[in-house]
Amino acid sequence: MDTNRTWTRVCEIDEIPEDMGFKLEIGGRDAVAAFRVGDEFFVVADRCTHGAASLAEGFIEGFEIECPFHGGKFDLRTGEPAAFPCVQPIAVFPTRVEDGQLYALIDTSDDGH
Amino acid sequence: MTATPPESVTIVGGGQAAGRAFALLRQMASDLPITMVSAEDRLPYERPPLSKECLEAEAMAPPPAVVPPEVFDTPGSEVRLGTSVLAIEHAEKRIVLEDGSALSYERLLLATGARPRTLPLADIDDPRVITFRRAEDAARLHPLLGPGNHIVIVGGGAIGTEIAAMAATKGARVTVVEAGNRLLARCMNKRMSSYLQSLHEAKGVRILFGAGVASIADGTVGLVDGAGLDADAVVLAIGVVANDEIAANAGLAVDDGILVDGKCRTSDPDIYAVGDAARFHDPFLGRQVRAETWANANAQAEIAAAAMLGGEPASFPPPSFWTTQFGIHLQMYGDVLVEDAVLRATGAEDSFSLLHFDGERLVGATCANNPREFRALSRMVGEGRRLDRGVVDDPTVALNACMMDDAA
Repeated sequence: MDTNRTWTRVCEIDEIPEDMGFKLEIGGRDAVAAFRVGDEFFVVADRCTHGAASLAEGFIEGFEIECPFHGGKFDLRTGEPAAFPCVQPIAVFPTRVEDGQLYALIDTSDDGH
Repeated sequence: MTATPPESVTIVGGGQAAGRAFALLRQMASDLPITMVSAEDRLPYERPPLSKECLEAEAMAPPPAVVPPEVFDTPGSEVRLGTSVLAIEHAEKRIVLEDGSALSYERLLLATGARPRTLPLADIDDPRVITFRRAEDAARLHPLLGPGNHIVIVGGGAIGTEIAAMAATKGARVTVVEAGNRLLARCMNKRMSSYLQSLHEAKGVRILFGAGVASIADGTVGLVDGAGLDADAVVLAIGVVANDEIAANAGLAVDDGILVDGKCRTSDPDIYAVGDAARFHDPFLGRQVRAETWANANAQAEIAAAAMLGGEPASFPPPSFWTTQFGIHLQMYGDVLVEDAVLRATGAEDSFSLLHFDGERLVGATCANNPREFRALSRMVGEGRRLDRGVVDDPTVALNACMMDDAA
């Protein structure tokens, strides 16, 4: 499978709201959501795998993000579902912070998924 | 009064409530023998995406599983798919399967769901006529949703309008035939019906109100007023009927659904019923209902699972529902049929909350593309909060600041 993962600037770390995510559109319908928990940063696929919700609008509880549609949860560190009704994991991306900017290693190829 | 924990649990059904109950029982009792007998050909899957996300892409997406399939592989778990249950012999405590064999049960959960209504005057053998309920129905409809096709949808309820929205989005010509005078009349108030109607009409969906179907033959829908609609697909989305016959035949109390108490128990203390098949007293609405929602299936599965194991279950939560049409995600909580409502805008287009009141008490919330506020409002509805109606329409005033102190 051909993937083009590039370090992509997501946002300034100060742009991430205190209790929700920062959403960045990545062409087409894909988007990622950036979260801050303490001094750690996480970037995950924005769209919940259970329904067409934006996880950036969800609620952070510890290292878990609660989807605003039906209350399902994912672990921000692994993307694994942490609470019903989420069953399929979400994609998570490696991150790094440089000069107050948050970067994530994201697949930017346009393969339509 | 709590019952003693059972030695086994048997579930009849294989949908949302059945799947959720199975997973919860397994979670609470890791060694408990649990048997699920389902007439479906596959493990429990979610129905709401069938009329939404599953139809979206070029290829039909299979509906997500209710719970991870590994749940059904745990020790003591048995699943029989493609197997109908013909009868409950409750004196002998056993169920009779379609092959004539019988399974003993100790505690039985009826999660038989509902089946879609059909029109006797419709030629349902015609492949163009699709009665919409199962994944197979969505799979048949999916390839027909495209430019050049005329999709006629009989029924302007939640399912009908969701399919209409998806069909229109994919470029089909769409006509909705609704017998009543507004859309989603059972789900929302008149103001919200109008809102959705405007959305549909702006996207070219034609809606016929007060329209009855006289015949469906050779791909033509004949209306009572004499008009004929030539269709490439006719979708029947005219409601469901509870699969309560098996309970009625066994002598259980039934009335458009299997009657259950606050713990989802039927008139037989060893038999429980949940989900689309059950009728219960909704403490929030103050009346008997048979709910047809995903939320109810899950909530009752949770209550029944706890009760069946001899524990104390939570009480029924207030009703909630959602629908997604043309990119508008509408979430509803509480009594949203109430017409006395205050609009709270957000400033963003197609994003707002409609707050339904009984005097000063918030009794319902309908939110469009406003999920965070929906959660806050849902909590307030559940707590029976009184809000200052004079300021709650001002989005610059935080909801918490609109709450009025309750009298001590």
